[in-house]
Amino acid sequence: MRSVISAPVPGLDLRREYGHHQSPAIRAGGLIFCSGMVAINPETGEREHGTVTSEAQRIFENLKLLLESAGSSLERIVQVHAMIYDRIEYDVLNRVYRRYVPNAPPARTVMSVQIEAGFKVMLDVIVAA
Amino acid sequence: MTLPRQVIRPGNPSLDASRRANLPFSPAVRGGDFVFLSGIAAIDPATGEPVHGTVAAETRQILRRLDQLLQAAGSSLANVVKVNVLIYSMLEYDNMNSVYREFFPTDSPARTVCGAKLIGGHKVEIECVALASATGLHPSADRLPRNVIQPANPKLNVSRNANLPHSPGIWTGDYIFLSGMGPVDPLTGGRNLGPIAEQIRQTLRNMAHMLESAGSGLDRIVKMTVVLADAGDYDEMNRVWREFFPMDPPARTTCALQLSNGNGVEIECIALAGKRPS
Repeated sequence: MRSVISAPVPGLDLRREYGHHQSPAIRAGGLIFCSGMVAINPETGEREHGTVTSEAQRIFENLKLLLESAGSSLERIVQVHAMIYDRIEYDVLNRVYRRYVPNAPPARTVMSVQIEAGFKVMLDVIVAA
Repeated sequence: MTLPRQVIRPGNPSLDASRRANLPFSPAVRGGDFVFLSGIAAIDPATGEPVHGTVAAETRQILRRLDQLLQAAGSSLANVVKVNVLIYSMLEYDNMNSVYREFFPTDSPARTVCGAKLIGGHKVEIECVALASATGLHPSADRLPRNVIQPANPKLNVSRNANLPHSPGIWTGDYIFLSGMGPVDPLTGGRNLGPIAEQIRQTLRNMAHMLESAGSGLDRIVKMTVVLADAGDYDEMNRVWREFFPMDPPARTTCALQLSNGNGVEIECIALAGKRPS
């Protein structure tokens, strides 16, 4: 069974907002695969560029909305590709990151890549449903 | 119960890029509910030679091959759950997107697109995870257990030793997901920053230890992601890979990115668990 998890709030539908040809998340085989998440205002869909801290915070809040709407939660994340624009911000990312996954945090690989639209952070996650 | 792990190759041998170029990764590996595809770059279906074209042309070529490979695995584009697109410049996002949408008209998969340095001068590389068949082992209602796994050797517990906010690995359902690993010395816990071949050997030995600590092993890996600090180390990496994966190697995606602590390599993997957690 493969089912689309639709956006719980209009702003998180990047297909509608920005023509990104993707679903917010797909559920299959007991797992939830999320599209790469960036700092978007969940109500208006506006891009909220900021610091690594503010962007990561916004992303985690949005991820919480998305996962809880699908009956899962931040505690159920199994794998994260944490993408940042520059490796030098690694410790900054960790400080905000640990607040959202304080116990038994997910497996993670941090990658410094080019992110869409000049964002500084993107989180790509797989979650136990 | 241990699940079977099966290597999938495309029906058309000229499209079997890894075999043609004698590269130590499999085009796709099936295990559990999912089939995991290696990163695909554009090659000519007639000759098997790499194609260097526009982002649109490369994307089209890649997605056609992805479709064929999924069919060889008994799956299809409609069963794809997650796509990762690597692109040489995010300025070309729309050029990729316009071709991409033709292949996934409805209920499109979850997707992540990012800019990275690709191997071989390609502009686009695409990997995906798909349901192997429409009816899986775990119906969607399942709430699978989620457990942290730790290495038996505490010196290799990098996240605990450096107080980092990740676990060495997570076991859920049929799979183990490991965090990115580097060349850590198992005796001291320090970095082992020798020649790149030694760094890769050390990392793979550590990965074997991590998986074996959880009852799995290198031979149970379905998919690996490799980040090199220098794309020029690709051939050297492949030489080491053959030592560790002489037969039926895992699916693999490689790119070159900035790394921390002077590491020349970082590797993560998804492996089939040895047995179901109780």
